[in-house]
Amino acid sequence: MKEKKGIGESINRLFKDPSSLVLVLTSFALIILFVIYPLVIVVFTSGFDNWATFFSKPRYGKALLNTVVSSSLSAFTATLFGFIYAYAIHYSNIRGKKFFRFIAFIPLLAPSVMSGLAFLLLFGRGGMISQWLNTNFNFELDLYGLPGLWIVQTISYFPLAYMTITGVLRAISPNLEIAAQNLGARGFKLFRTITLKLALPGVINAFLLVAINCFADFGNPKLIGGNYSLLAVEIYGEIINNEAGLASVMGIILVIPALIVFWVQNKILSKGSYSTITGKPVSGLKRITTSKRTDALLFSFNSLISLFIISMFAITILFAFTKNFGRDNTFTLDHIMKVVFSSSSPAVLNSLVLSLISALLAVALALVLAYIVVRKPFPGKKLLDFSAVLPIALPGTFVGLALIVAFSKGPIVLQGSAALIVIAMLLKQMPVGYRGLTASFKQVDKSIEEAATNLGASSRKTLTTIVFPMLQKTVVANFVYAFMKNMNTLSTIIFLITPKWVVAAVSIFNYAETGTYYWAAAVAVGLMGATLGTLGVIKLIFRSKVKIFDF
Amino acid sequence: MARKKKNSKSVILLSVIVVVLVAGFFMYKSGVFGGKEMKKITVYSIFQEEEARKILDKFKAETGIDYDILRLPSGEAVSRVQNEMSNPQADFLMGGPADSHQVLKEAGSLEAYASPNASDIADNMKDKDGFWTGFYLNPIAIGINEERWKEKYGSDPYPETFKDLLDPKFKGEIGMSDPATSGTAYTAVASLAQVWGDDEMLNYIKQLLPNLKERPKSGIEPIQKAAKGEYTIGVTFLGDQLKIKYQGNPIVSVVPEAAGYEVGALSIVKGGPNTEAAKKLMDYMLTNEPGELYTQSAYAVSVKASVPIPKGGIDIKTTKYNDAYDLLKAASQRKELQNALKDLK
Repeated sequence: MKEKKGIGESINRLFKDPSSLVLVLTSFALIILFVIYPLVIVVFTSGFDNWATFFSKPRYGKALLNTVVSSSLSAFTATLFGFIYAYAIHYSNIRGKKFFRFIAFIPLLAPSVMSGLAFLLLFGRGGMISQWLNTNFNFELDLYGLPGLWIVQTISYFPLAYMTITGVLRAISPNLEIAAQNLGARGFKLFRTITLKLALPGVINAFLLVAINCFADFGNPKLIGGNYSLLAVEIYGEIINNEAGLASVMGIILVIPALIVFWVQNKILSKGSYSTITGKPVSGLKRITTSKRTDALLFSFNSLISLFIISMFAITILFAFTKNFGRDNTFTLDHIMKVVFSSSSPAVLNSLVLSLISALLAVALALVLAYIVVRKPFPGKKLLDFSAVLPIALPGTFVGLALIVAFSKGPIVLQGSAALIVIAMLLKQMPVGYRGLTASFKQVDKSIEEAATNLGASSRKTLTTIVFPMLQKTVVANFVYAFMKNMNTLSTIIFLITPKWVVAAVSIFNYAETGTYYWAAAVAVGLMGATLGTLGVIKLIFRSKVKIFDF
Repeated sequence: MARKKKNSKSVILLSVIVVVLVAGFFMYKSGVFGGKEMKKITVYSIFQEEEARKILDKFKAETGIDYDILRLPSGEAVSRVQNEMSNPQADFLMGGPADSHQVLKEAGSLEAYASPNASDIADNMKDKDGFWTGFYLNPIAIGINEERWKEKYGSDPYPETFKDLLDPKFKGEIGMSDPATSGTAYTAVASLAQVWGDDEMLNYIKQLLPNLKERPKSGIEPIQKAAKGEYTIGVTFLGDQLKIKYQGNPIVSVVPEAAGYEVGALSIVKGGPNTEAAKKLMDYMLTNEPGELYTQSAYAVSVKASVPIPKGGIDIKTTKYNDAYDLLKAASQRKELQNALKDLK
């Protein structure tokens, strides 16, 4: 830090408040060590030769093109489906809205690679539906490659699009729609000119979010991509071949679109949003209702999606609890006992423990960072703020890659330790919490804290007795979110796994890839059980203070 | 106010419980409980995890040593063990072609251990210094789609030797992967080169080319396609053929004379966290029980004569396979032979 540079005032104040100073210095140290250092190492590892190799071999160019094509396709359909699904829930008069909300929540309990697994069980070479088609119609279903990947990514990222769009639709005030209706707009014209227009920035945002997730998705492309090569899978291959340089090149290429999206989200979308102007929905006013025919269409669409999701989970559960579903349908607990409750197979337990620790640390760090950035004056604040949000824009595969490249050699070696897995999860989730908490901090009036300080409370005391209790809801919500994401992450940690610290998502992937489907299914069921159980405990502790299971 | 107090108390209580549980978990993981004998052994498995676990569960029942396992493809296992040399994570490397273990031996990543149970294993199926020991072998075989054979050739006898495959009637009816890229096909031609000499092998492949329908990249593909009836004959490893046969396909396998084979090996990682247990596991692996367990599920042949032939398997001692096949020589010739093969056509 440069200390003699005119910003003496803020530094002076910082030195008078030692606990703040410690917080600021620790935050800088952590961010530099785990965000900036790995990034710098990756850029240096990539090297000129490897860039040349990347651009001279058509194989990599093809992988890049494939990734762009498949991600755009999947993001498009996932967003479209998410929009229709959300529209049906918020605008139509269909029955079973609660049920549909519940269905869209279920996929969040499982890693996205579970969709890949379920897809293989239904439509893969030996899948239930493929076999049925084969025996009854002599039709050979082959969806490996782009078609299968497209379907699976659409289904597994549709809930993300749905959630984002739901938030947008909720924020649209019915006033405008009613006004338009009074002016004579009806049916599709009303939808096109008002609803869609108001929702568009949010819809684009959803599309970008899904696209980035597809871009970095590793498990599904590896399972069902077949010969359709993709960047994330190529990176994995190069890491295995000990070509850290080439992997770094591809990692950097993977990051570029993500950074562009990040920038677009921050700059353009925040300006072009109409929904914020009208504020919160006015109560008492009812939305214009859709026609009966539209209702029927929307209902069938939502039912179809729900059926698909339910059958994916059903087939997984069937495989987990039968000897070898389809061949031997005897009920058994063997698989669950062997891969979930055995001391030789601690994957689910590892996931649970590491996810909890990482989520706790992520929220704690986010809290500290948000606190000092919003409340404390110190030099380098902008840099700290930027670096703390940056990981949100980095694809999981890249975070994992950066950590393994930075911490397997050099001054600090963490390879092979659980710490690295915890850090990787933390880096992906901390920025989300940081964003939320910064917003909350800004809403808490500073005068309350100042009053406490005037009464003699130290910075630490103010934090624990005044600030934390006021932020409890946001903190718990962020903890729950981080925990669920950690339980299900695969691409971020696939490089960091050691035999002692195998986690459930990786087990599901490994078993699915080697065709041990009942074990893959059993681990998936165990993982979902662990997630649900933990959420249940959290709900019991915080009761109405936390929104879980509210549909 | 009272409610709030209760709430903060329960939060404190909960945090204490969580901290204790987490601390206990980490202590358990690092083997603090139960003393040294109970310390887990860590295994990188190239076998299918299900098969490896079956064996390790038996080992656990016998010795009380629990295990952690990570299944990896052989290439990944090799680079992992090499990368971790400064801080080895695994104790034992289970399965995978012997060439991979040889690479690790030369890199200095392995611990030499000549198990007393390895004494009856042939010399070309184990490392002379005990850095790796063979566990199973899997010979090259000629796989024939019975149904398509009947349609095409009626009651003609099946080909018994590699030279039989040169018969012009097989034009476009044989699949064999490209020895320049596939380890499977390379094993076949390297063995022929050892028995016949390099030139005769090259000459043979040249004559064989017109009969080949295709030369796919992956080693298992020819028998998959033969099973589907795309052509009649696929040259692959025997284990792959038997697996596909027992999935309900009409496949007959013949192990021809001079057939080479792959050896699946076991080794102990140097400086691993629990080398003592790894040695015990090596001794156990070379008894009959694991040999039977593995060969039965993978349709491979044990390196030990005392392990019975798996049900449905072929007793290769009754065939004229190349029992002197030198895999190290094959590995050292690889570049040169593959380049020569690329020039054919």
